[in-house]
Amino acid sequence: MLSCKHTIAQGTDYLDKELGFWRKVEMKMHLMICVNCRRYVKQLKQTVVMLSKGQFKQPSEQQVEQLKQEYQDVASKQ
Amino acid sequence: MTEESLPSEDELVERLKNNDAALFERVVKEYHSSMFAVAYSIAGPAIADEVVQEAWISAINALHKFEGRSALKSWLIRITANEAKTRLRKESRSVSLEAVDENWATDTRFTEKGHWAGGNPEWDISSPDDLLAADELQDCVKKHMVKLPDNQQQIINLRDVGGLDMDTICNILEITASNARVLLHRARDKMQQVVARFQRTGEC
Ligand SMILES: [Zn+2]
Repeated sequence: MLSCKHTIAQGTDYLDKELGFWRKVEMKMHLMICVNCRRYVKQLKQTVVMLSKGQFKQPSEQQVEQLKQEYQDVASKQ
Repeated sequence: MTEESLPSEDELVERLKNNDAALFERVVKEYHSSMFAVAYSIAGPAIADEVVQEAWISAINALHKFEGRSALKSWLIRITANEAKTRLRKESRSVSLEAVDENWATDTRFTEKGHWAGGNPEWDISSPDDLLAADELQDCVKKHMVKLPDNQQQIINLRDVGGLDMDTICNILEITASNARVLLHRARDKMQQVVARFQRTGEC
């Protein structure tokens, strides 16, 4: 039986589908019976989803305008 | 999270190559944030803005050569990471980031018998969408992201914010795959702790 510690340590590999077949089966079995680890994996997943969709810093209007200008200058030369 | 989603990759690239400035503006607004996070993690806060600016300019000039073998976003993130590395070699980092407790072995979230006790039950009800709605939580995560050790910060930004695959990341950071996986897990685990605490106490 996989320990909680081991399960937690494999959380990232599990989410990223990097575990081998038997590792994955062991992990799923542990998650089936252990509510705490199940919650952990769920929280880890939600964290990853949040990071992938999060907005960290928007460009300023000025930056956007500058880049658009640059884009148009380059495009017109090609 | 812009008003409307971008067109499909093929159409997107095709139109960008054909001087669609309005679309280009949307692309900038969509991807700038992730590029900034990556630049910040590699080159530091002082020059992150410049790095992103330079990355955009490189991208604009190389756009006609872009063949779509990777997603446009991945391509932009790679350009940003490489630009950040180049700049970093030229300038030393101006800010030393606060170290985070690395004590993995004596993790208090396990009970004496080695059972996991670090979660919190109330959290089961929230879906990823509920989480996204919480601006305060986003701010909290951002605040803690920059406290991660440099290497963890770099990898979580490249992977989860930037969406790059692990092979590309290993190349950029010049680390082994197994090392990368360990660092990524440590970083995600710390962010999970931040999220769990926020959900439990409402405090950052
Ligand atoms: Zn468990």
